[in-house]
Amino acid sequence: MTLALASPLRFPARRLAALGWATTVAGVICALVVLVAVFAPWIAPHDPNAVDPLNAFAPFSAAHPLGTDDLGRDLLSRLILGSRTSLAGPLVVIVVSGAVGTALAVSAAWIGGWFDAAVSRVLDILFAFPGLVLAITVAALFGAGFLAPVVALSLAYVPIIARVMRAAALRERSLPYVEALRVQGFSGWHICRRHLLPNLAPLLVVQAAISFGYAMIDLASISFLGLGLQPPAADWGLMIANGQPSILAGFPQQSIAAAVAVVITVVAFTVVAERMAAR
Amino acid sequence: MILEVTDLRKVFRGDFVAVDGVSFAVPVGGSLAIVGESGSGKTTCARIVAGLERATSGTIQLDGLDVKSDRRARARVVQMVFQDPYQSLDRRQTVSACLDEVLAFHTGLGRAERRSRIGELLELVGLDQRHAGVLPRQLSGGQRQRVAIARALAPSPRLLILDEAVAALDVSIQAQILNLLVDARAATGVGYLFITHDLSVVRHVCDEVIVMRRGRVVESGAVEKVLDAPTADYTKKLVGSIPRPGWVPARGGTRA
Repeated sequence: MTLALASPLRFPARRLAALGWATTVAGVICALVVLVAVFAPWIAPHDPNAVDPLNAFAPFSAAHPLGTDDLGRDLLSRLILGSRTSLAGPLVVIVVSGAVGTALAVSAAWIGGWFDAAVSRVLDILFAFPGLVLAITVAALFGAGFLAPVVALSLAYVPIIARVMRAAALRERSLPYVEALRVQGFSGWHICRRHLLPNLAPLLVVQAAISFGYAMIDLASISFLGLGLQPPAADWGLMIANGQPSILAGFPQQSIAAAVAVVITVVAFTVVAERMAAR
Repeated sequence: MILEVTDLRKVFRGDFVAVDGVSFAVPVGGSLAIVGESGSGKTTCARIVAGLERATSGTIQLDGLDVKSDRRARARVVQMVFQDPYQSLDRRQTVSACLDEVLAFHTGLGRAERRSRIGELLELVGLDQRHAGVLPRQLSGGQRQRVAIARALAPSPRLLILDEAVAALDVSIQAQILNLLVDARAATGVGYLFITHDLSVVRHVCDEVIVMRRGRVVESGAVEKVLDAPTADYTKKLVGSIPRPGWVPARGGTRA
């Protein structure tokens, strides 16, 4: 009897080449954005909130690589500090909706019957409600800021995650190894926790990564509408909104810089997520 | 008797009668085959005995106990090997992790003891330590079925249900697994309930056989008697359809 050996060692370089240049570039951008967010206070060249009215709308220069805004604040520093809230928001959204959505999906798929039907109908109703509208409503009711839109959006993303995970959990549940575990006498809790969830984890990671981009755009939109973080906080969505009046004055840098940051980050995360999904 | 099934009935969705008043028994350490074509109700019988389906009526006594006791206690009496060796193992779990999980659940063995027990189980099914750390996808179908058999034998059950356990394997591997089953029964004294549509594998593993058709038993008895001198028409047809040397795969080929 021969034993199939593990696949031969692959060198990292060859592995990178196999990924394709688009995924590699996107991956590097994702890593950079995360690093910038983590080390933002040490990287930012200026205090992002230091107002200098005499130096408002400064053009690109060595001291201010992206220029300054209407109050003379350094745009690069604000962009760097803004990455923190702009990434933290979507991160909380995918962690919360991922956890709640997966718990609902797996328990619905496992228990089945009326419980599955009830969960599915509630998710359908929630699904019919646009997430952005829900978030705006909640922010209007409970006050603008970081928490209200993030909580509302987490709720709105639950059905998106749960729908995919429920289908996958049903498929997984029907595999013979689950019956084999039942014949072994294991409890449903043990089988779900030790077998279903670990097997569903890769799909959850992909779903969360794809949702990350959407959540980022949604949160930026909420900030743009003035229902998210309030000035003088540095946040990309808020920066796009703040820069709006200056566009007419001929100084579009702030809006453009923040918008480009959002677009590049969203595209990079989505490309990496799609690549993971394709595997 | 390790298993006594009396007047078993299973009705699906109100009107489809899958099993219609079937009785059979497996003596301690004995080996009973249930044969029949697809849809004859043989797999439903096996699933009811394993606790995966509930009988509509009838009684099942395992080891003299009524089977409504808890699943863990039941699992220590009856275990099952499934048809599909490719999907009956968790694809993320190594062979040793798979066996260790079962041993930790069913036995009070410590880590080191479980480890040596895993070695014994692997040896019993013709695998060795090289296979302990690998994932199912690194094993062949036959090797996976060996792991599934080792897992089923891990709680030291008194009865093993083999539901078409060799049907998905190619013929040379089938012979290996059948030999393994004969050896394992001799070594552990476990009884078999052997579900198959393939009469040619029955003689090798089983002492007794029941033939099922459309949810009913049409013939039963010792394997030699039923296969060599079938009395029911249906059994005659089944026996006649076993390919054998001299069989011509054309219309009107040799008949029994």
